[in-house]
Amino acid sequence: MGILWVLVPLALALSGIAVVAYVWAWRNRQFEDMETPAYRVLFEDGEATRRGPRANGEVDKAKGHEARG
Amino acid sequence: MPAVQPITQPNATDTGTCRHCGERLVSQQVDFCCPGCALVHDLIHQRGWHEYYRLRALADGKPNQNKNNDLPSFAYLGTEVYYDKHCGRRDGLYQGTWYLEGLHCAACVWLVEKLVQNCRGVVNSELYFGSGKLVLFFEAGADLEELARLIAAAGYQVGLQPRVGGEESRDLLRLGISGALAGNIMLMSLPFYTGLEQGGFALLFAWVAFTLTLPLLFYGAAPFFKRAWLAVRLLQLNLDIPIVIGLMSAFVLSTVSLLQGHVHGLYFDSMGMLVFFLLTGRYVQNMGVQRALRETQRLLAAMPQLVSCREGDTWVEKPVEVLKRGDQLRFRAGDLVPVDGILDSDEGLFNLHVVSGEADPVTIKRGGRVLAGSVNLASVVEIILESGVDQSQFARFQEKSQQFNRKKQQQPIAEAAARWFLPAALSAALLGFVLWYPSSPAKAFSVALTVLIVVCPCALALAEPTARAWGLSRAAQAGLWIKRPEVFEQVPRVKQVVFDKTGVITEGLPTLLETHWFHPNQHWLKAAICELEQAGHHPLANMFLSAWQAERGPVPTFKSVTAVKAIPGVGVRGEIDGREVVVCSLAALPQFAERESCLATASDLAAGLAPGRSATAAVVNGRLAALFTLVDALGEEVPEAMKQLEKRGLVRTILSGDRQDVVDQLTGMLALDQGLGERKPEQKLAYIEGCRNQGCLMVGDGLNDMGALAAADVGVTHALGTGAALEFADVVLRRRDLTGIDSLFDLADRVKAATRRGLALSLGYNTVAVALSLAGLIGPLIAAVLMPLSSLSVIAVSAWTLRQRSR
Repeated sequence: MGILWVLVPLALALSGIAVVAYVWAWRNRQFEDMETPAYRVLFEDGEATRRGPRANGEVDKAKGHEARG
Repeated sequence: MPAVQPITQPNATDTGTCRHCGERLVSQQVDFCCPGCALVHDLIHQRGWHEYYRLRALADGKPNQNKNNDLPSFAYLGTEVYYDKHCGRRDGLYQGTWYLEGLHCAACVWLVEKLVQNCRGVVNSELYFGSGKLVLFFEAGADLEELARLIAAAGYQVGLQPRVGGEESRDLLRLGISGALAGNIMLMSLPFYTGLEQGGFALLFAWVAFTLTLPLLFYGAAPFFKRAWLAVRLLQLNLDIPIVIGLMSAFVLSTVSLLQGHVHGLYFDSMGMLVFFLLTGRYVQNMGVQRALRETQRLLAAMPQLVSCREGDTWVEKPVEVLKRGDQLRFRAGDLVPVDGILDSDEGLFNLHVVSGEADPVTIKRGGRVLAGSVNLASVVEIILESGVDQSQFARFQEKSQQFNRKKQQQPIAEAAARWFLPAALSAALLGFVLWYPSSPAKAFSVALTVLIVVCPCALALAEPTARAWGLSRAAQAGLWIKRPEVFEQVPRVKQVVFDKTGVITEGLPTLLETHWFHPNQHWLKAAICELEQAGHHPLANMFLSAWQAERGPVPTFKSVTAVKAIPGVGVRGEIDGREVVVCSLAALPQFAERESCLATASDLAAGLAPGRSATAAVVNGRLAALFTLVDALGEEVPEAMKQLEKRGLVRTILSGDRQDVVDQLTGMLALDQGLGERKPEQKLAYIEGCRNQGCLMVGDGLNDMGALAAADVGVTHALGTGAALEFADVVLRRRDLTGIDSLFDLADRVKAATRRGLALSLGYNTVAVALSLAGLIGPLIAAVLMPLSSLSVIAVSAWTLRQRSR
């Protein structure tokens, strides 16, 4: 039963990781738009130029220029 | 890029369909059914974007069409005011949000994103299909005007958010984290349910559960604490107070027993479930409200237009925000006047429908006041700005209406249950303690705790939010957007329904009722009238065009259309192929026509006109050519809707700015209870204020209804209403279909029934459970198991009630 001293913290750590992942996803605005990505699947390869939601509102400048060129 | 597939881009010569939308072509049309389609096809074709047609076929999408050839001006996007007022700054880039109307499939998303990517100066973008929101990140000087023009030309409406701001909601984050915490607390408590009572592991599990409860209580349950504190400060009772008392007592008692080294009598898991269920209920309810708000926001989105303002000898286009008192402004026919001003031209013809409710155009002479919201109908007019934009009558009225809306929100939701529930619960716990104390103090403590846990008003608090959440989702399905869930509570108390006339009961636009032809060539005359009306921007142009568009066929070509002039208050005249054609009111007929017999016919017609109808005449070369009777037609479903409301025993009143005789006639025709005409916006507001809190539902759509909508217990408008009406209404009907009001009543009744059943269930549960715990028959453990079960049963009952009756 001594193994519980390891398993309980391990279980907590695992759920901690899940919570961190959830917070990351929320911050990344993964839950904001549940519809558009479904349509984007239909685009030709190489046409899917949208960069997807950006981390913390950062703007990916380089890619933006690429897409415009 | 693959070769263009034949099915996706029909070839016009083989199939005779439009190359853009695939509609069958009428003879003489080549390749395209309308100029709109040709424009969109060109736009796509020139750039080699055939991918659009492939995606459209794949997604089975409808074609986007630009039926409206008059694109609004997007010059506003290039002004400093746009950058200042509508854009945020982030990392050296500007961020602006547009709302697009008309996205229907993957191809639309693709096309808009393509257009955005090809715009100079736009670095990044996000397009949200569901809400039609397009977020742009751009450098200063980006060519937004061109981008908006292209998107609009492709058949989508582009608008700006009416107001900037709106905090990002953290509810989902809180819900997810609380869920994770509650689940883990439950897991850590499981051993106690299965009989683990002592030893090191028991303490390990108990302390872990305690640690997990801390963030749950102080982060997850924070909204309840905040609202309970607010209620305490305002000396009110709401359902958050018993929740907080329940949570705090469970927490304190569990912590005390944990510190004493006991592992029985811990209620961390029950607290976790309570918080999680409550947050879920509120989240679902908010989602419905958010959806309604989003829809109305999209309807409110519009592109601000620039106003031509005199600067020295030239006219400069300026945003409304920078105009000053005394500025001289110029408006073309069809322009909306956005400010209050004094007319500086000899005469002007304005449509005041949204300002005063008057359906007929009004002539204003030099020096007369033109109010914000008027539409210039005739020729170019000049107006001198009378006051700053913020002080226009409209702005003042808007401010007043906002006060009403705020008051409405502060109205305490009738939480009658909370008012007696809280004292009852506390005294029951106290009673248990007192009853058991003489025999055993420890038992007394346990009984009091059990009572506190079983009465913890989880189910009670959930009954109303869940019923409302279900109601909101049903409402959305039925084409009603409800912006305030409290509406469900107020609607069943409504005794009087007040209607605006123009635009609500009637279409707000004249339609052709009868025609008398005196001219031999009807076809030529119809085409000529259409031509003349269009060229002269006459108020009746749309009516004639829509009535005859079908038979007019391919646009006829006249050799010459000259000397077209709109005569305010009279009509429009011009020379078509050398013949003088005039469309004028009956009163002005003698000026243009000669033959006496015709004039007699005309005056007979005028004499026999029923109220609410008017007549107009067409004259060719001085001879009466045709007479038309016009009527502002009733909405199709109006009589049906009125009957439904009558069945409900409601008082139905018309409150209109239009003439009393017109109102009387309508009141008689629809057998309504009351018809009040010639009411100015302030009078409408005063009338509604008089019936406030006596169950008054107002249906309106114009600027003139804004105050009344805000003041009424329930304000209803439809999606075609003006921005002001949409902003202040509580309920928005997706279509102008007044039978929606009956659905609203029906829905509110069902929500009420569901709430009642939920409350009855949870009160019944509480009574039985309290009795059992007072008798000492159940312990805290069973109480903790029963509590989530009762919440679930409340959710099930309200879902069942709303579902069952809707079939």
